[in-house]
Amino acid sequence: MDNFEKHISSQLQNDKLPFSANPAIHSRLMYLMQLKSANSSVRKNQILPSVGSLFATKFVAWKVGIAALFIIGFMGYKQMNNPAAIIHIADTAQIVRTIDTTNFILDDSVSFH
Amino acid sequence: MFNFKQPNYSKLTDEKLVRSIINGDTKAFNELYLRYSERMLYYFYRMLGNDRALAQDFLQDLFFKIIDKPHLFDTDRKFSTWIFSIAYNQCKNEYRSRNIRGVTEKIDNPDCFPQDELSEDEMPCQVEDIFECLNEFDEIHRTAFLLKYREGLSIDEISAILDLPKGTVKSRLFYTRKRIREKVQTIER
Repeated sequence: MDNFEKHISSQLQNDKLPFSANPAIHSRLMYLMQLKSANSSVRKNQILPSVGSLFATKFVAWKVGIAALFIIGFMGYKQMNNPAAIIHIADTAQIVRTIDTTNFILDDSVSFH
Repeated sequence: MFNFKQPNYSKLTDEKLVRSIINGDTKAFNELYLRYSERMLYYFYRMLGNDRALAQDFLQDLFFKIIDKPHLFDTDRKFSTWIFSIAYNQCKNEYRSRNIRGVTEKIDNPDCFPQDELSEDEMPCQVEDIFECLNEFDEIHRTAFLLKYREGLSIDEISAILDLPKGTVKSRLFYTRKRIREKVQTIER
């Protein structure tokens, strides 16, 4: 920018209109915007579009992939929890002590004469 | 559980505000109006031969279009480029209809004089000299000049608004600048 351009630029940027936008225009536009907002699908809080997008053909490969992962995961879970598939193994050593009551020695027993 | 925080609209970009307007957000529209109304009013006023009433009408039409069809905005582009291209097309249509009607601003419309209701104090002489000279040009030259020196837009942005090659925009600016320089020098003598 040469000096002349800078001069023009500063002249225009400092130039102010002696009037401003009519406030009635702002009011009318805001009213119009509120009417538009009342008809907006977001305002209506509809669930149908989001459900619809779930079944739409867009990103169908991703949707099938995610569904397949869920199914595989579910099947694996069922397989893990099947009672027939559970193998019971002993994980502790149990010591059984038997007492022979027939050869009981009565050393300290009371004698009757 | 759902703590929806209200966004601070003054910190949002123009493009985000338009996205909110598409979803019916009135506060976003209000913020956008506050940001652009005065700038667009100035543009219309200067483009339409300093006609206050027409500038106000065009301002209302412009924002009405934004309310009506915000989804036409390409969110990958800058909002300022979009709004100025709508405004430019409005002015272009107005010039075209004036040409068809055979209306010349200074003869048939007394409101269109450059010194419309303004005193010497309100408008510095030099600015009026610039606009007096600018009124000799068509809408492309005027818009390019205003967007470059008033709005500070780049050649790329002006080229997108006017839908013209960059070289054409540069040459129009050069020619307008040259003509204004000559005019100012003549006045100074």
